Amino acid sequence: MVNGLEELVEGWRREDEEAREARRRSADWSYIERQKEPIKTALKLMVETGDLWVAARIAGLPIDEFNKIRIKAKIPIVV
Amino acid sequence: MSAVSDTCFIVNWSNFRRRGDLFKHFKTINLPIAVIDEVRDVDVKRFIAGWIVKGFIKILPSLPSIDVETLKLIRLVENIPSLPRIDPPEAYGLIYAKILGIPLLTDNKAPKRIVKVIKEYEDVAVLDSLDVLKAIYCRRGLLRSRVKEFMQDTGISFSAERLREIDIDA
Repeated sequence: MVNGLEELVEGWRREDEEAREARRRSADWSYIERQKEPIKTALKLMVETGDLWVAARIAGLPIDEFNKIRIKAKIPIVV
Repeated sequence: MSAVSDTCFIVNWSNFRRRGDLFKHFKTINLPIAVIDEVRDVDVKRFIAGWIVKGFIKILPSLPSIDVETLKLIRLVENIPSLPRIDPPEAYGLIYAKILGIPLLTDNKAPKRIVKVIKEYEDVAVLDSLDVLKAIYCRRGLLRSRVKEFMQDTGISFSAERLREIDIDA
């Protein structure tokens, strides 16, 4: 199972970087900057990490409510 | 077919205009109670309640033995630098999927990677929304249009490589 682990991890690293670039590119930065704290910080964390669960907690919101704000901010979840 | 779902997956499908199609492929979806606890949005709650009434969704209880396994899995993942963090409800879902021998539905990357690295979980099937869209719509020749609708409705974006596999330009 761990054969080729380095190759696998390198592939994941590339995937993660592509996903981060996609989030940065797609995000509505004007919308993000207009948000109050801690929503603004949480959205920026979402752009950089793609981690919805942690970002929602930073925002102090349930995950589905923060997800609506994420969609308005045009930050994709890249699968 | 039955499956276990995490929070993000069921929230994403609740936002999809063809959400009911999920149950054309899955007879039952099992939601850990932690998932219900995480949902606050009234629309999502309404959809979940409707699916419970129709028998499409079953609730999995919180059990001390699974709490222990969840903590073990989270700590194990934390100690493998190549793996992304797994959140507790997601870990709960993965453990239930393993115990029940059914797939886990998630749009998060951690479970898909865990089953490739941690031997104990290698037999668990982890499916994301694109896998499920393919399973539902591939035979009917609707896949491209349905994937586009799904991305519009949910703010989910599939990687360029995966979209190319189904003949969609990123």
